[in-house]
Amino acid sequence: MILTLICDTIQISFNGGDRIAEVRYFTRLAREVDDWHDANEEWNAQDCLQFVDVALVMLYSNPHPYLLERSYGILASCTKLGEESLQMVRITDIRSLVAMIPHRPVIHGVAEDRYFLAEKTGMDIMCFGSENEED
Amino acid sequence: MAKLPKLQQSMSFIQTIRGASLDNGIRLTGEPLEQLHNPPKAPLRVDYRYTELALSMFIALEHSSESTYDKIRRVIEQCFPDAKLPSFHETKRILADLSGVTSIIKDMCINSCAAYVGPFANFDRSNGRVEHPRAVFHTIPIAPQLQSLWRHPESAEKMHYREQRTHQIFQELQRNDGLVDMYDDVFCGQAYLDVVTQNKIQKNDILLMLSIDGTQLYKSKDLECWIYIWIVLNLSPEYHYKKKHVLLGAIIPGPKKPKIIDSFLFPGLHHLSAVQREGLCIWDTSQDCEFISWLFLFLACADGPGLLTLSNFIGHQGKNGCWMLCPLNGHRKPSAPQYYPVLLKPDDYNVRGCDHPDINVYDIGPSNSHVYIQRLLHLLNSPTQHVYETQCLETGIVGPSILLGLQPQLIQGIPEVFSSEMMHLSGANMAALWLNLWHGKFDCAPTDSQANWDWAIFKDIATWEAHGCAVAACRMCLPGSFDVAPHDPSLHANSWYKATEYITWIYSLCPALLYGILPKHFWRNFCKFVAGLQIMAQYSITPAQLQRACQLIAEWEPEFERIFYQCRVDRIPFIHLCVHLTCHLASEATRVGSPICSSQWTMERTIGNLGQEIRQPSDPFSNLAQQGIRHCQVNALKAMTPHFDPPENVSPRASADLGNGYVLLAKCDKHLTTVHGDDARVIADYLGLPCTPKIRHWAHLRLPNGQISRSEYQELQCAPEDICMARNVKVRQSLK
Repeated sequence: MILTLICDTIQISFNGGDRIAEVRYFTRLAREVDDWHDANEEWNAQDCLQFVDVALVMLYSNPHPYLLERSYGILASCTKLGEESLQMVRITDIRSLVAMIPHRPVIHGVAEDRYFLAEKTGMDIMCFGSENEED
Repeated sequence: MAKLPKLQQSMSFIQTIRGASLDNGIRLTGEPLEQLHNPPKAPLRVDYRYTELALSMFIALEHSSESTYDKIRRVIEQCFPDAKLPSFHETKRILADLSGVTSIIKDMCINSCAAYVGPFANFDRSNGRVEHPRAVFHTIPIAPQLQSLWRHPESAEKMHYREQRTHQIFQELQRNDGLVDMYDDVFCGQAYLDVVTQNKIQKNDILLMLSIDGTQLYKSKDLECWIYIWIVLNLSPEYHYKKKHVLLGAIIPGPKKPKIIDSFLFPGLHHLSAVQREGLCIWDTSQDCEFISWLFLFLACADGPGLLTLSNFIGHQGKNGCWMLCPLNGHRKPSAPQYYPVLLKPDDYNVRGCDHPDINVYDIGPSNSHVYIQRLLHLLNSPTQHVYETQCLETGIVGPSILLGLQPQLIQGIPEVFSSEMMHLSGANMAALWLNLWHGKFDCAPTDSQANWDWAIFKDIATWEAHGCAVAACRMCLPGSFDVAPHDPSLHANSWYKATEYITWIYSLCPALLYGILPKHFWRNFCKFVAGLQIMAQYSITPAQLQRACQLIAEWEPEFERIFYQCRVDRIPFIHLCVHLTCHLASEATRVGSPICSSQWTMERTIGNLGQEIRQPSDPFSNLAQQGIRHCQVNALKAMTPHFDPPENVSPRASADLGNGYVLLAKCDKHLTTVHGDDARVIADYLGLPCTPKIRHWAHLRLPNGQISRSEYQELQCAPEDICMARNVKVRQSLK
């Protein structure tokens, strides 16, 4: 597993903002250390290797613009982009876990199978609560 | 000054608290009192190793019984004949001595009417009402608990958070023309920055938040118990909500709600006031120095009824019903006494005293102590009961707040000290309001007709049941971090439905599930509210987001009034107080930081946790008090000697810590695996290699916010009914 890495970062968002993705699996790709350094990568001196921690994901489409606009940005309804969109993302770019729930909205008179985004309200407080404590 | 006996009584409590000193009043005597004036100037050492063992056992067995402790002790002594371990009760005493935390015990009425303290100290004897008081309650003085937080370098370092954060915020302000980068903890708020620039709070001072809550001990039984706690805001928010950093104030036993709650708050506030007057002597181990610290009460929060006990405001039915005592005057139906915080003047309306024109939503903002004091003076001067009652309605105040007893330079002021809990009110109460609207559950005035309630979509049983099914169907797709996923509400119409279930249901699911079901303009108005509330519920809010939330809410409120209440006198009761409180959220964030950060939402859990620790249902209150005191003693000991508090399973086995809070978790391939198909192509492309290396698959990832993301790799190995699709993630845009 001696590897060299050329492409360091990839573009995962096309129209700005966050993207929603479905994780296939996580993995640590090893690469040989050469003459340049990236402070963000974990240093594994023993093997002279650095890990690039990534997730293999499939993307959801951008939210439907009409629903997004009519709902003041809270109804993000997407479709799965499938195998075509299979790609790597850096683990440190993953911000949060979200739910994508199937629904069938009628948009301009046509019903479509889509997925809507549900996020936990006030989710950030999660790590401040007492639920992860000893009891 | 006050003329009516009830007001005189309140004032005498306040005056006694204001004039408190450590050597009179409160019953800390002997060594604990001596320690307050002269804190020990060395780190706490437990000299004897068997004492240390006993204490560690005692702490580890916090949730077990006394006999468990004794059994283990006996086994150890059999195995190691030289070992002499103290008994359970001896250990308990050692803990109390080492921690320096004790309780002040006061008599109280058996029916929890009042505590016999302060002006009531001789009440029972002089009135001959109770010969031998059979009930007592415990107050745990705050000062020794605070001193313990400085007695180990590690703990003391945590107490310096406020100082560091303040410095950081002032730099942000300079850099961004007076704006903070983010609104999160209270230090970002204008109120805090003002007291700092006015030098009311110095570097070594301690900033406190008081939180009071009533809690039911058992769900089935009608046993109420009131608990108040202190949150030390000097600690970072990461710590200050955690159970082990929450300082317990007092446990006020039931069985009923205390009648004169001031008397139960008295011992704790008297003690605080005394320390405020004399200053708290602290020895900071991390810097090896002694200093005087002043205790500043920055916020006081509670849910609706609890807040009124602290503020003595009139509450929602008054003309000035706002918890914040903001100057908004409500409207009422001509025939009913209760006011509602309606902004738009009803059509053809001329009820005397509230026939003012429409109020601009942007005029809603916090009140201030000058207004409060003026109104209070008016109230206190009421010569007769009748005048008093009229004044209550006019001023929005029922009596002086007990917090007036604290030293005025060391409290934010009234009503400024009251802020929080609006997050809870606007979250949970608004969720209930929306449901009532959709169900058409409001009383329909004879002049109104439910046939015109286009928004009452759930009156139709078929629609309601279909919605219930849709909610239940979402369960499978909601990850565990959503707490309790909502059940089918149509099957649980009358049963207990948790607040978190409501919030997920209404704010996360309904915007999508009601699309096409709610008539368009009602749906749009609902979405506008949710959009604003979701921003306000974030832990950190950027100034740009805050501006957007402010605008959304300001547009939403008048629109909400226009489409539901429609300026009809008979629909005034549609506009509940929570509608109004929502309008305060944005300006409160600029004043005291992100609302959720000072919300009682998270504290309720702590209070609830204490209630669960009861083990002797026969005498629940005294058991709860003992648990509470022990809890404080253990926390103080842990703060002074952190090795009693080893970190718990930081990272489980078979995990890989990637730094920055990301941890890969099992399961993981034992061997390197060859990748096939599209996966192989993508990996090779990513690495820029002609062929794909073997890799190890990992199934789970823990995110910095505590959520655990799964992956297809793991979920395909489960039965379909066990899968809860926790593998969708939000990914940050990362440009080259």
